[in-house]
Amino acid sequence: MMKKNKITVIGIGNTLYTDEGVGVHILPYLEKELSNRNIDSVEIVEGSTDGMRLLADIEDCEYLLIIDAINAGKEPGTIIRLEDDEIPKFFGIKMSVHQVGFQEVLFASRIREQLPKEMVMIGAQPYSLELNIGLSKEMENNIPKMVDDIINQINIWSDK
Amino acid sequence: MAERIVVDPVTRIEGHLRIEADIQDGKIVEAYSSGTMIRGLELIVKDRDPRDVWAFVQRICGVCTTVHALAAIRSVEDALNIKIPKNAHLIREIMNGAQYVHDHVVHFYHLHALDWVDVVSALKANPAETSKIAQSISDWSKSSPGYFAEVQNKIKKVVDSGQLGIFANGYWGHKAYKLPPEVNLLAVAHYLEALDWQKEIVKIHTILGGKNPHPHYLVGGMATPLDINSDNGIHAERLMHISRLIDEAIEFVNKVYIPDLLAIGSFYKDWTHGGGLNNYMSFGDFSTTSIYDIKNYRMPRGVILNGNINEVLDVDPKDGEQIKEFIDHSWYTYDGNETGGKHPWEGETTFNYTGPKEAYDHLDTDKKYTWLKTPRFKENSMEVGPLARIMIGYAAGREDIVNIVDDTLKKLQLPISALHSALGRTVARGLETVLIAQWLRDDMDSLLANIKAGNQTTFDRTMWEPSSWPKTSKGVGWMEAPRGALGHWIVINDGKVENYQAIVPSTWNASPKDGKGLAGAYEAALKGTPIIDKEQPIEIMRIIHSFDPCLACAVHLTDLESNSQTEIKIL
Repeated sequence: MMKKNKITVIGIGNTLYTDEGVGVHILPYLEKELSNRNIDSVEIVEGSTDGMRLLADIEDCEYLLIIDAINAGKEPGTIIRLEDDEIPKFFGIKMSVHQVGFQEVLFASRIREQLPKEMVMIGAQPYSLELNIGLSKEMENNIPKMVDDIINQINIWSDK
Repeated sequence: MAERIVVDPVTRIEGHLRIEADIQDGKIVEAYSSGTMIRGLELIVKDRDPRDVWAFVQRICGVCTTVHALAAIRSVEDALNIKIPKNAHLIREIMNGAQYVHDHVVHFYHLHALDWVDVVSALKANPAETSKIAQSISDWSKSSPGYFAEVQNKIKKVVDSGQLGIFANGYWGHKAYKLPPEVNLLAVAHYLEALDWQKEIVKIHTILGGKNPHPHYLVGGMATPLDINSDNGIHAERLMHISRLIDEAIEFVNKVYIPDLLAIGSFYKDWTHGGGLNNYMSFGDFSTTSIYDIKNYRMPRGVILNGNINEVLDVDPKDGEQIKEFIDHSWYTYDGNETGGKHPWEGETTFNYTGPKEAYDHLDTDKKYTWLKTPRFKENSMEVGPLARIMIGYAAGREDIVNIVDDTLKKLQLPISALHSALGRTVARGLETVLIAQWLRDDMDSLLANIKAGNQTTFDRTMWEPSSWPKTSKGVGWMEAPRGALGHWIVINDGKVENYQAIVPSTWNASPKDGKGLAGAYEAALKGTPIIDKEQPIEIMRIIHSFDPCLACAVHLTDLESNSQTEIKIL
């Protein structure tokens, strides 16, 4: 049996649709900030648009942080946080390629009784979903705040 | 007068698909297939460096990861006349083969089985009986009564919790389910085991492609650092790991997937619906030498029309008269016109949405009704995918294909014509998985032999620099992806992409009617199918799922707007 990672951060989204890819685009910034703060205990996974292949990454950790774009009908740029059971519920209603992707992964993991101890999802309301590679300028300005929120969560877990 | 029912979105597929079906006297008399989202990947690679195209186009979807990269890279190499080293060819074959085996097993258990398997019924099963059945069809080790009782307990917990997850959308208890509870339990147990197994097989991509999803490719070869003596490259231990994963895949396919497929199939032999066009097309793939040696394809190229397996016609993706994409019922224009057909090298992606602007009940299917274009082979609708490949291989007399098909039909006591059906498609997918798993083994052995002989080259840089390229060139990257014939057509000018068009397998299968009124493969497959309960059209799901649709292309952000039950916390 492989030893579990304590904390895994997984970024999902499609980088071809501007802010839809925020979960992936943020990862290098996060990596840099973690290294500035000498936090090296975090596993970072570029989940992109994948589905069931992410099962191993999800199950092989104690604390899971998911980053994605979230449409909550809020002001663009609003940072949104979901916990545990709230997460699969949202994937359950979202009409997307992830319909059989991430939602099913979480379900599969639950039926196998292998879900992480805690899951948190941090996302942002997008400014633009146009076909375009790279984030909108506005979303880019949001990145430091999102990174801070993610690191706060990581710190909470690190102390457990 | 027919009544129209709508299934939108079709669940347990990748991407968005809407089916409208006219039902009269309990049967589908006409069906319409509509892709309700835009792809547009053609536009995003325009004016880019052709050497980068693979990286962009494969990101369109995480499920078909790798296949768009491979088709893209083949298109560039074809245009620039780049030949790749033998090892690179083998590594690409192994990655594509691994993709097939993963994709087909996952499709069977996770996307399609629930059309045939009633999960809730599994609760009524006697685990001891399930164990007997399991042991009678396979010597797979996990088959004790205690094991199946434990699985049943897990299902019960989920059902009792009321959080059914993906099981929530099932038509449990529907009269169309024919399996005894014991077989349902067997299938659910293997659904869970398949999850475990697929976690491992994907490591082949991670090792050879450097990462997963979206492994790395390279124009002119592969970026795979073969070096059996290094600490960091693909050394002996990693190669052995791949070898072991291949052996495990062969075992899982032969001892779990195939026995389950035949056991389940044997209860549905009289459900003969879902055939359709009986026109099949394959570009062919899995060459033992190079993609340009068509005679060496283990999965042969060809076309069958009207189910006539006595004749295999040729298909050439470069021939402007053979393959054209029409737009008569698709939301596009060509040179400002609403109709017409173009070969992809001359192809055009100009959106022209003329569908309903507000909420609607039905699409106006007499006009344009889908974002998918309408590809045709010599103006015929075609089916692509596992059934097409198996039919063409059979018709071409390929020994391994003929043998496995004949053996299977004998076991099921069915004639070859029974394959023209939803179940036939599902069986064909299983059979090609057996063959491809073996080819994976053969290719890995060839790769190991090359390395042992001192050949670790995976990249040819001769044509890397754009200065070595002609001013203009064009190419096609064809392949057989798990879901069917895939083509990427590229035109390169002054070192940049001038035009790019892809025809993906689901565009062939899910295409709408053309200007002559010829239906696409889904539409034809649905026509004539009896529907027991129009509120629960499981028959439509069965048929559409048997094609393994993949229309994943558009925006898919998490949507909280329609869920009022959960409080949103603002940070």
